[in-house]
Formats: sequence, structure tokens, C-alpha cells
Amino acid sequence: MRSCLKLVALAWALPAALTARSAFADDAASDSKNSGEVKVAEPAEDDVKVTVPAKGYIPGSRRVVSLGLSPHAPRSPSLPGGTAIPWSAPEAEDGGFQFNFGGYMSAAARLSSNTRPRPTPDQFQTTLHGLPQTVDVYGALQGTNAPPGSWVELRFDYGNSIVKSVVKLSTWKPGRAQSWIETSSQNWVNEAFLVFSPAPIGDLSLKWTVGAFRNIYGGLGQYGVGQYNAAIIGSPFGVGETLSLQYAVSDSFSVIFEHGLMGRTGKIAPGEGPNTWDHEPSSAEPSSFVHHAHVGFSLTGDVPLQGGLHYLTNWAQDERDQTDDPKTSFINERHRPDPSMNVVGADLRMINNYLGNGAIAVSYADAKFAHLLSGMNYFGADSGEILTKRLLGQQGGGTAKVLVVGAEYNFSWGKFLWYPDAFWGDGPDLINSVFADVVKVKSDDPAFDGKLIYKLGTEATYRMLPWFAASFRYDHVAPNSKDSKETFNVISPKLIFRSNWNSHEQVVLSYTRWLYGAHTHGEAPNDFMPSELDDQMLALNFGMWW
Amino acid sequence: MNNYLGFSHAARWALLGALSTAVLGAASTARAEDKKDAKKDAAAEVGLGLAPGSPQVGTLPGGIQPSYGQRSEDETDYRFDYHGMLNMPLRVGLNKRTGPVTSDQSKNVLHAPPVVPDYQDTFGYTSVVPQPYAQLAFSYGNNVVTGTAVIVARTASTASSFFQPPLQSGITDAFVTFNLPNLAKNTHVEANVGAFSNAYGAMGEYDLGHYGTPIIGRINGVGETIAARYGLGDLVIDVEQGIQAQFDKAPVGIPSEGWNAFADPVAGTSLVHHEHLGIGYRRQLTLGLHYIQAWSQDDRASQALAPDGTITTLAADLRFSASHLGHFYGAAALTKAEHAASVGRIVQTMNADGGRGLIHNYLGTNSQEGTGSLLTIGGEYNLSLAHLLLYPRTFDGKSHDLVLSVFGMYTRVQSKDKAKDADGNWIYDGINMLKVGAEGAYTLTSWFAFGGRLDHVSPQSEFPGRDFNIVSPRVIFRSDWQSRDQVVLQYSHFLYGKHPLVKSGYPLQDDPNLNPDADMISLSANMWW
Repeated sequence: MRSCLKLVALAWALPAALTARSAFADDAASDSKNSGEVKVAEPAEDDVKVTVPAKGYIPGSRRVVSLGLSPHAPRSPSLPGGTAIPWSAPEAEDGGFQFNFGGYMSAAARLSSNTRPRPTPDQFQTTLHGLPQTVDVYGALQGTNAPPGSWVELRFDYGNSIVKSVVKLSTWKPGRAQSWIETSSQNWVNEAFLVFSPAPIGDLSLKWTVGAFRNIYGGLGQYGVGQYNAAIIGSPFGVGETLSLQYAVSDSFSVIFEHGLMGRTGKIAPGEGPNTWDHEPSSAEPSSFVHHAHVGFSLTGDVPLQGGLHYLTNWAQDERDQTDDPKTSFINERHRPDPSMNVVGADLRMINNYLGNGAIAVSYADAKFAHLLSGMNYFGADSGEILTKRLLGQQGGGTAKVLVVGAEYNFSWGKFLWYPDAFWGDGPDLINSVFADVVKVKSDDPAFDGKLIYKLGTEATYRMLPWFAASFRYDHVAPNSKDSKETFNVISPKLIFRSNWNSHEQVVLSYTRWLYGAHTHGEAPNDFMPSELDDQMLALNFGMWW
Repeated sequence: MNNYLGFSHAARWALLGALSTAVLGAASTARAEDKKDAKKDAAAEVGLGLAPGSPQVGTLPGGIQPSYGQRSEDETDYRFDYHGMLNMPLRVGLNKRTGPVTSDQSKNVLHAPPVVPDYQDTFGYTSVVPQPYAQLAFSYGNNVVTGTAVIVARTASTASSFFQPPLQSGITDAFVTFNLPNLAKNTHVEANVGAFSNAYGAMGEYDLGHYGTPIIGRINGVGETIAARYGLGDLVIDVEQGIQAQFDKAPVGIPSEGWNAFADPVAGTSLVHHEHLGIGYRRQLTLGLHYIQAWSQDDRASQALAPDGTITTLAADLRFSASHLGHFYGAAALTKAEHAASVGRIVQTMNADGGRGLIHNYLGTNSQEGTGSLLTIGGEYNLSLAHLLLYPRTFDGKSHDLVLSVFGMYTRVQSKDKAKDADGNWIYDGINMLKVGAEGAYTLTSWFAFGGRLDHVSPQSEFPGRDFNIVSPRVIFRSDWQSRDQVVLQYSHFLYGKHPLVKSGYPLQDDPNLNPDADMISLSANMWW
């Protein structure tokens, strides 16, 4: 047997040894004819007789002398299959690849103010708080997003017309302004994904996004989730894929199909928490997945319309680490149920035209033990735990049915009055907006069952000069139909400075005043009591995208 | 008198005067513009403090460099460059729930990440389970000098269940590369200085290979590496040398927790020096000899009479990029550890961090603070069947091809830890470890390929029950024949022995009671640029 193996080895190696020399010679000859453009940036070009294969990668083509990998080399194994060009191998063509740097930043100096009940002679009666101590925290039901917070996102794209890599670095608290280092505020690589956009096949076009990213459905703004900063239908995030197909039925009408699957890169392990540096996660939380499917249409013309029907399910079926979490007295994780939340929704939007830009969306969620879920933002709550505390009710572990309706309408008088001539915002304009969200809850938690929540608002912005505009906003928030004394109002005048009519940046000086009800209180994770809430805030907000 | 153009003398003077006035006026306007620009520039440069964004560092030593933000005389040669890689996989382990199942539970369970024995710092690592990885490298420089800063993440925050700071490493590398091609005839010198990593023993033709493990070692630290190459006819003599150290040492008293990657106060400030000699033949055949020594001589780590620790690796490797005959790489490495517990992660042996990694994965906790040795032999062979069959015609990789690979690795451990199990078998000393695998992929169209991979892993020769095999069929989608992007949909079936061993907890510890997943599905997006 051993002799056979030796014979096979010899049979394989002998032709290699015999042909190697001629292979070099032939390669060199063919190279001189066919690959005149090939260059090898290595020493002694004139002196070393090099056989240079065509660019591109085929096993056996390396012509770089090196005893180790470069410090630039990624610390990852070979790509599966060996069919893609490995890192740093010379490419056959440049493929039209281009680098693009985009981003967004919004940083806000926000100071909320209140009065101290019994100040000493060494104390001011007026107190100043940053981070503001108000009802308005990110994604909260009671939030009106009147004073936006900080978010910095750097986006690095590299790709061509078919494939593009996107990596986003982000933070919600730029380090220089931190009073303490909140490790998890620096997301570093927050999203990393590929987008494939192959050439259309007839009237069918396709887009495939694969990697770690976020989808948003039911956003009420033209380019964002809207004035209340909460997608009405849902926002799956994680690692996975989303496939979009668009079929042009006619020049003006298309149907759209979309499907996606997402999961998490890891699960919280026993022994990991709770720790303050990672927001006290619990190993009793299972790894969750999201599956979503959508069908919609797009109608172009003077009044473009777009609509869709949506189905999303967020679920887990994970038996690991079934140990009771003392923080969740309402769920016995030793016999942890498989949590799930199914959402069906619909939306209709009128895309920006002389009649304005508007959207209406509705969703119905059926949640079971949603406290244990992760991977989908629903109505502003980034995790099942937050959603349960804010909306579903903790008794029953987040078992509830929720109906959410949201609408937003923005109207540009300039665009309307200039019609049929186009108006691109390069002149004075008055913009009016109205927006509202309504939520009805049926929950296993008596404190939440039957609750009707609504908030509505209006904003008027007058752009009088290329560099200056003034705005005023009013919001009315009724967070609990069972207690009208929780209802409150918010007014927020603003001065807006910028470099030109259609600039990408603005500096906003705003004053916000909350007119609280007697029982108004904060929401998770900042459950401020009525006496702790500040009722006014001054903010200087800087924002730019590129 | 009129001249040939018909202008009178007076008219010529008048014209000249007008022209002069126009030119002078224009010059004067230009001067005014220049002055205006200069004033504008001066105004832009006036400031009573440093501009926001200025580096928070002192003056650079010597004071001979232009300062940060100062315009250099010749900016034209310099350019910005951006490179990187991302690999983001969705991985799901499939299993069945053991014990009773309630009405609120499903019998089938889904695990992310999968519960399978594929841990990067252990011998059993095959890289069959794709790992999240993103690297962004930002460079700025010219053909002589380039500064590079690298950001690395082994997760993406939007997809992680909880925030693990060690997986979001931030800026991992920051170094300056000097390329000096003309120091002498036929000589090329390249030097890297700063904080960076070198890997030796990469089994892939351009990367770490199918096991994602540098068989000789990886060096992480701050310092320098110089490589000098000298061309001599068909030969290239390659000499490399480097010395690196660590910025700091985990202070005594620091809690060993997840946020600090389980800092090890037992490890001292560690250093490494490494020397390499290679001979290349026509840039196709390279024979290398390698010597790496990492050590610590820190009284805070090796206190009282405790000896200082060392990890020494002596290795040889051979790489043959044999054109149509494919690519072959083989290496043998002998790593000797002496009281290595005090050696930090400045060196990685078989992906295991410093002395602690060796103790944890190979030598055992009773190995006299990490005393023992590893003899490792490994190799990989890659072949394009189309290239071979079409030879002597050239093959550019832009049509059907069957790409084949075989790879294997063997390690023998000798340790001072003489622990035995209940059956009298050695647990650490004299243990042999073996893994072999094969992979094939057929490129059917420019955008589609399919293939599979087979792996056999025997991580502990004394415990055949720990052996396992993996069968991994996969389909591959990409943008072109020779693309650098792909999306891989893979199914892996794990065939375990009688006593499979996986890990749980944080940090991961062996958990013999955990039932591993037999099946895994992954969808991974890969691209480099």
C-alpha cells in the first residue's frame, strides 16, 4: 500500500518536475507576447527572469517574494470555494470600482433646566442638566423628537455598478464631549454589507443586500422615519439578507417584492453579565431571528404614489442557558417559552410633488413573550425588553396585541404656488407639516390592557433667507388613556442657520418647553418621576450630511 | 507713414498704450486678487488656539517635520488610499431540544452562533463556520512612505446581541511603511514601523489558507520589521528582521472581565524579535527559514524566584507557485515554551495568544507555568484543473473551472503537565493532533459556482471520541468570473465521535454536557477591496 502511494506521488510529481522548466520558458514567451502590460513591483526587475501569468487569480500564479503576510493582510482564512480572487492578488481589470465617502453627523449641546426646591446660599436655584432630564428619550412613546440628539455616521463605499461594499462606523456620543466613557456608545463597525445590483433582465430589476445592516418599513418621512422618529411597521436589523425585485408593468407602474432573513452574530453567554458597560444583558435571552416579506407598487407621474403590504416575524427557538433571570419576575426562564412577534402592516405614501409629501401606515402586532426578543425595532423600541416596558406590559412577559397607525404630511407652499414650474427650494418658502401616531394596546398586563396612546403635532418653517429660517412646532401627547393627567404639550421655536438655500448642513438654536400634566412621568430606561422632570430645554444642534 | 498693417505711428503708440494699460490693469487686478487670496488664506489660518481635529499629541521628536496641518511643499505625490475586507455571515446551528418540551416551545432549536467545535484559538479550528470580520485600512502616502491606520471589527454592532468591546477593536494597527527600492543595485528594502502585525506560515497563496492559521506564528506589537531583498539572476535573497514590544502590561489588580478581553495580570511586558532568511527562485519557489523568540523579563510578572518566560519558534517553509501545476505550501515549525505564562499576546502560536493561550489549548495548567513544545507540520495544495488541462495555452480564469484544494496540519505536543484521565491516558503530554481536508468548487457561470468541502479533525489522539468530520456543500454567487466578492450559502453537517466537546460560557470553557449542533446553515457575504 505504501509503495502504491509512493508511486502515485511520484507519478504526480515527476511531470511537475519535468515540465516546470519548460513551463517557465513557455510562460515567459507567452507573457512577452500577451501580457505586455503586466508589471511586478518587486526588486531586480531586470535581473530576475520572471514568468508572469496573466492578472487575476488562478492557483499557482503568485509572483511576489515574501516570507510572511503583509501587515495589511486581513486576519481571516481563505474565502470559501477558492473561486474569488484572494486578497491582494493582482486583478485582471479595474472593473470600474470607485471609492465613495458619505456620512451624517448631528451633535447637540442640550441643557434642560429646572428649579431647585431648597437652594443653599452656595447653590443656584436654577439647575442645568445635560443629558436633559425630560420625557424625551430616544424612541420613547412620549418622545416628540423635538430636540434631536447626537448621531455620527461615517460611510465608506467601494464598488462598481454591480457590487458595492458598504461599511458604516457610528457613534451616538462623540468622545470629546463625554463626561465618562460609555463603551457601548462607540459602535465602530455598526453595519457592513454588500449590495448587488445586476443589470436588469428585461423589465425585472433586482437588488440583493447581504451582510450586517438594517431595513426600515413604515417610515413616514420622505427619506427617514418621520417627525416622531419611529417606523410604524418595523425595522429588522442584524446579519442576513434582503432580496428586492421590481417588475415594471408599464412605464409608470411597477410591482415590488421584497424578502429578507436576519439573525444575530452572537448570543449573550452565561458569565457575561450583568455589566454596566454593555447595558446589563441577560444570558437568559435567546438568539433571535427575523423573517420578513413584502409586496408593493410604485406609480410615477405628477403625483407619484407608493404602497405596500408587509409581514414581519421576530422569533426565537433556543434552548440554551435556561436559567431564571431575577430581573424578570414575570417570566420563568428555566422553562423559557419560545418568544415571537408577528407584524402585519400596510402603508401608502405620496412622494414629494406640488401637493406635498405624505404617508400613512398601519401595523398590527401579535406578541408572545416579546421581552425575550431582539433584532427588530418596533415603533421606536430597539429590543423586546424596551418594547415590553413601554408598550406591551411586563406582566405576561410582553404578551399583547398592538395596533399602530401613523401619518405625516408635509406641504411646501413654494412648490404649490410655482406649479407647474418646478421649484427646488432655491428661494423663500413656507413649509407646513402635520403628523400623528395612534396606538391601541390589548395586553396580558392589566396596567397596559385597553390603553389608547396618541400624539400629534404640527410644524411651520419659514425659509426667508438663504442662510436663515425660523420654525415653530407644537406637539400634544396623550400617553395613557387611563390617566388623562399624564397628557402633556410641547412647544418648540427654532432658529435655523445654514450656508445656502439647499445646503446639506444647518445649525439650529432651539428652545423647548414641556407643559406637563400632573402625572406625566418618564419611560424606560429613564423612568423619571414627575418631580424629577425638567420642563424647558435650550439646544444648539449641528447637523450635516454628505 | 503707414506700416504694412496700415497703422500710423501715432495709432501704434495709442494701441500700445491701450494694451499696456489693459495688461497693467489686469496685472494689478491679478495682484489684487493674489493679495485678496493671501488675505483670505491668512484669515483662514489665524486662530488663537489649535484647530478642532488637531491630534492630541506633543511635538514630534526632533522638530524637523512639518507640523500637522502645515502644507507640505509638494503634495502632488501623496494620495489617499482605502482598502479593506468584510465577511459578514448569518450562521444558524440546527438542533433538537432535549428533555421535556412545553406547549410554548418548539422541539427544533436554532442557535446563533452555532454550537460546534470550531474555535479559532484551538487546533480543531477549520474555519468551516464563517466568522464576522471587517477591516478598513486607510493609507496616505507616496511611493516611498505610506502611513496606514487599520480599523478591525469581529462583529457588527447592529447584529450583535450584546456589546463586546474586544470584538470592536477600533484602530488595531497604525504604522508607516517605507519602500526603498534604490538603496543598491538589485536591492529592495521595505520597512514597517509602528503598531502592526506580521504573520509567517500562511498556507494560502495570498492569505492565511483554509485553516485561517499561520502555521509558524503571528506577531502583534509595536516596533519594526525590515525586509531586504536582493536579486541575483534567477534568485532573490530575502532577509527579514523585526523587533516588537507591547505598549503596556495588564496592571496587577485589574479584574479579568469581558470588556478588557479577560486581561491577564500574570503576563509581563512582552517583547519579540524575529529573523527570517529566504531564497526565492524566479519568484515561484520560495524556501524560508524562520526564528521567532518572544520573551518577558518583567519583575511584576515573574516575581521572586519565578523564571522569566520565553516562547521560541524555529521553522522552515516551502512555497511553490507552480503555474499550471498549482500552488503548494508546506511548513514545519517547532515551538518551545519555557515558563511561558508570563509572555503576553505579543505572539500567537497556532492562533493561541501568548503563553496563556498555549497553556489553555495545548500545554495544560500544570505545565510549570507553560513549559513544553509543539511540533507542527502542515501544508496546502491548490490547483485549477482548467489551467492544468489547457496548458500550454493560457487560462485567464474567465470560464468554467474546477478549483481543488487539499490541506492538512499535524501537531505533536510535549508538556510538563503529566495529567492523565481516569483510563490512564495522557491529557496533554505526548498528544498528537491531526486535521485534514479537501475542497472543490466548480465555476459554472460568471455569477454562480458550487462546490463542497470535507474535513476530518482529530484534536486529541488519546480520545478518539473527540474526532469529528464535517461535510459542507455550498453554492456561491458573485458578480463576475474574477470577482473579489461573493455570497456563499453553505450547509455543514458535523459527524461527531462518541464524546464531542464544545464550549460555553464567557470566557468560553469546555462543556462536556453541552449537546453540539449536528447541522449548520450559513449565508456569508465576502468582499475585499
